[in-house]
Amino acid sequence: MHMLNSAQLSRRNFLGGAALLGGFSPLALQMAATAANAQAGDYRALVCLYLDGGLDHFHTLIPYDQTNYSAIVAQRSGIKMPARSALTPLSLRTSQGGRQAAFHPLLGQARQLYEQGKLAVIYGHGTLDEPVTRSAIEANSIKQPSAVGSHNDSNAAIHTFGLEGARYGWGGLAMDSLQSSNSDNVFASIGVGALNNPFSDGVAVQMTKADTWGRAVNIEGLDGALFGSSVASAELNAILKRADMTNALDKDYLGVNQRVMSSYKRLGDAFAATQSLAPIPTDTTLPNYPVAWRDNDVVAAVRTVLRCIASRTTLNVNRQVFFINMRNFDTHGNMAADLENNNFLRLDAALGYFYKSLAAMGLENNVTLFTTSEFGRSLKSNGDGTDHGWGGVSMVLGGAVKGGDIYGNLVDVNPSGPSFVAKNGPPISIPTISNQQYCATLASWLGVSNSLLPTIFPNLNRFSPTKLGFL
Amino acid sequence: MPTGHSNLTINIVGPLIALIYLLLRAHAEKSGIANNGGSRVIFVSNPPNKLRVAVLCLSVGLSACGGGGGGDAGTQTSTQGASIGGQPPSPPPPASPSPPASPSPTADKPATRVEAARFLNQATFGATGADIDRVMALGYSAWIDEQFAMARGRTHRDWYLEDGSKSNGPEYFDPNSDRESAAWFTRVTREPDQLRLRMAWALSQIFVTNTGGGENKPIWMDLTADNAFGTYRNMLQKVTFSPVMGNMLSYLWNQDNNGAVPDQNYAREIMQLFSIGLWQLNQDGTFKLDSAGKRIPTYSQADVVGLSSVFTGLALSSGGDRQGTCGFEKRVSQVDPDFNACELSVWPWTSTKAKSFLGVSIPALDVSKLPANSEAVIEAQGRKNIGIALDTLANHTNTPPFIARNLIQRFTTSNPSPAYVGRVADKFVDNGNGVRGDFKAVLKQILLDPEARNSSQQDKAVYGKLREPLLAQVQYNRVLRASDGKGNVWAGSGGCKIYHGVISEFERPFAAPSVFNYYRPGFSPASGEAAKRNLVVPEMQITDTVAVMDWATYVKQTLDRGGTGCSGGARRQNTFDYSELLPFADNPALLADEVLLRFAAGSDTQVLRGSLIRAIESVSGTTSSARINRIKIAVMLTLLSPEYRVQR
Repeated sequence: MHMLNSAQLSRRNFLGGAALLGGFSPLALQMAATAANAQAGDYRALVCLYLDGGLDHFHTLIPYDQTNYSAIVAQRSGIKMPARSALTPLSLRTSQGGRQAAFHPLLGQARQLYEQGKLAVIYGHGTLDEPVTRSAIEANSIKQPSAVGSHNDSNAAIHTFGLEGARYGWGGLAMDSLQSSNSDNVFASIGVGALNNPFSDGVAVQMTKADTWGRAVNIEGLDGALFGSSVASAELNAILKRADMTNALDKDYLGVNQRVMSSYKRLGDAFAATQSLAPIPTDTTLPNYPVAWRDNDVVAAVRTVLRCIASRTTLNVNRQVFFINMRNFDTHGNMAADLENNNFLRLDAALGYFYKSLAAMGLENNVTLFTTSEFGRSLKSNGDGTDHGWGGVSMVLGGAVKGGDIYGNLVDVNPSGPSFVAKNGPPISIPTISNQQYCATLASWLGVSNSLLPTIFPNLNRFSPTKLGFL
Repeated sequence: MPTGHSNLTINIVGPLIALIYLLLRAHAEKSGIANNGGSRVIFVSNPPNKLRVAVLCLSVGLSACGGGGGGDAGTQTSTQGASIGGQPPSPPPPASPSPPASPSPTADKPATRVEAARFLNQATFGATGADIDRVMALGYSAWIDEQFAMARGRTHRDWYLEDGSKSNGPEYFDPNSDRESAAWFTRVTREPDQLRLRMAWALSQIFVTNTGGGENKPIWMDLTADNAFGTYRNMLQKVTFSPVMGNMLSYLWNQDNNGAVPDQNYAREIMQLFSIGLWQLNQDGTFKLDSAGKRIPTYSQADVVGLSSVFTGLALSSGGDRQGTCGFEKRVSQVDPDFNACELSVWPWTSTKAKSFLGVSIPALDVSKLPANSEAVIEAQGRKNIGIALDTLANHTNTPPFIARNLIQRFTTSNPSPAYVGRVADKFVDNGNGVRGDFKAVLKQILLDPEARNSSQQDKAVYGKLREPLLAQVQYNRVLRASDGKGNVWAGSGGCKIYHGVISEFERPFAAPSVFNYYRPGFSPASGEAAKRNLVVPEMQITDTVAVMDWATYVKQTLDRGGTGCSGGARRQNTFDYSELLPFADNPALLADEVLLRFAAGSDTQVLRGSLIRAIESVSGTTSSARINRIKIAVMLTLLSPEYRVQR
């Protein structure tokens, strides 16, 4: 149990007192302030692109200075590393003590966006409840958070700041606090693609799903006659609107159906109005076609997000969060080939396409895309891949981003050094930035008030600064 | 801006709920009220605040007052406290009231056809009229025994290699033709060894593989079916030595030398997902708690590392293939030994270092003291080490309740009482003849348990499970006897908006997105009634707005087209056979009853029945098309209803 400081105590009393009196003034005040700030045209959205499985940070942002390049190659036996001559080191605005790093060559569009100042790299962040050092972990004076190593718990950790099973994610909670920015909140949180994530769910704001391929129709059979009978159609409507069910599963299943019935029309209108928006390239001579384009469900999902953003008036939203899951980053085996033949091609195409399309819509300053992953990966090769690590790397993309810089410290690739710990197994990177700092920076840009940040990000005040400055 | 009634509700109620949640969370965090595995611990003495949180939780009935369910097995018996970030979320409390101390024995013969159908919908892929007759004649227990004794149906591998290719020609080898799915759909929709297939489907959702297309899916379909009535320990053996799992969890060619460290993937997931889970459990599936009221982990990272050294040296006997294939396509001549065995060998490059995990220590094998050409000795030691590891997991006290709860969720109810879990776990420990992990005994207990059979033992407000998309699709096709006329049932076809004919992109057979299955056993929705009651609803994780939209579209389109999802080549068209229902098509009440019997047995269908009868009556005439339309209406209304979608 950590000690409470006086500011926290007074905050507790303040919030607690308000609740006791039955008044809801803190949030009401907050919402009023938000509403006052909300002006036409100040639409803002966050797009969470979850790289599911654990992105290998050393294969994504490769150490470039000769010492560390040689060191990482030595650690990665059996894994094909790009030749140093094929790498272009990233320009740095902040000194990294002579250390340099380069994106994997297949992340060429990401590198260009970085150099244009539109993309920032967050380096060395991870699941942390409090700041740690190698010596503190080795001395058992600080424990690694229990989520480290487990996919599901680490996934929950960066998206909910709980363990697996936590119901409310920071995207949904952020939108809970920003509800008054929107005329209604049916589309305040949108998920695209097959895999849902608690990131999207708040207590009041529920995720609405948008089909990757732009289909939004009513429950079949409700509109017009059903097999020749309008009575059948009316009865189906009655079945799906029953309010007297008592079993929880019945009620919730009906709830999902009713959500379709109340939302499909606007979503359908949105998709109908944006059929020609940001078409996905069909030029088969494009590099890496079809992997990067025709068959890239991430580009398709990103396009669905763009269509929703373009339809923000139809969807009644001024603040919004989106979630997309990109699979297959759990590169225990065959890592280099999997990343190079597939994931990096798809990711890079999606990032380039997204920014270019946003700029064409004139909304590049209003939307910020960021990547998450449950953890970075282990330093050493396991033969042809890497295992679950801890600290990792992310990218943040958008016109509002103070890009062209690496936030966080590049490290010396030395398993015996202070940047790694090998207490219970092979060495893994010790995070120097908490995911809470990373995500609080994003939520703050979306409009979440400073006073509510520590509520959504429960250990935020144990870290300094609470915001990383990339937005 | 439209500001309708619902918007108003959202704008007022939403912030209030959100505020209460945020206040509670902030308050609980700051005052140090931590939910440590369920027993609330107050760190800072502050009675008024403590009281306030409790009162708010009670009066608002707020879901935030309990945490989510997590992915782990386990329920807990203590009351809930506020859920706080950074602490393990509170798992659900026991959903059902504990049954009486001595549950009344289950009558072995169903009293009604509805009871027989309800049982069949738990034990098979869908009750047909003939199945119901059989259960009425035999009773539950004898029907299960008949299923246990039934000859294993043809293998998916055979179907894939022979039947499929013969009847479908070159198209069969089109990688986009969903041929593996068709093999599975045909088996589960039409063939008689239903309990074996349903158990195989359940096991495939615990021991999950999703590796690619080609032959890996039929291998896994066969492996799970072959071991459905075997023992848990043998299942672990087959899974571990399968090249498909070796590829899935990347321990094919796993080594512990050459400057590389062993791949930890399998070591971690075999513990977390296939055997003991993350947290120590009591025999009834509730969490063990330490003196501070916290859950106790079952293993540490050191155990993962120790175990990873055991799963080394595994590769096919031919060595070369790193993709986990046994050469179905390349080796149709079936001369390659890997083709038939399809099993990994232990090679002499298995790790000989000392290993320790879960309290077991295996000393190093000193290779320098072995004579030359001692590869066989090293291989034997490697195989023995794997045996020790699998024995350790199979004999762990967590394994019976962990596997019991997972299997109960796949057959009967998402939120079993601890007593139900305990009774099934007891059968896992000892089948009555001293055998541990006997799936037959476990299955029988799951299906014949008082909580499965006696409605008096069930809490109607929480009992049941949501039908997952694939089970719903198969049941629908099974009752309407879908077939392509050659004995095959196609998943659907390409070129169709409804993904490959499977009703949603969320669930295709043997193609879960990861080893974590299509959904997690502890998934609990963020909002709604189940959240308020702290229930888990695993299948709700893939039952979102797009999924229910897809389901309605699929049902309507297939009924429109008489069985096929959409055009995709004449060879892959299913046709429905309405013969089970046609005899009732001129009598609205009888037709409603027969449809409800097959699909919604066990649900309170009184209101739905009224709707069906009125809808059926609205189509008059005795022409064939009028009759078929009445059947279609009854089926469609039922299939979209919660009375159907919630299996009870």
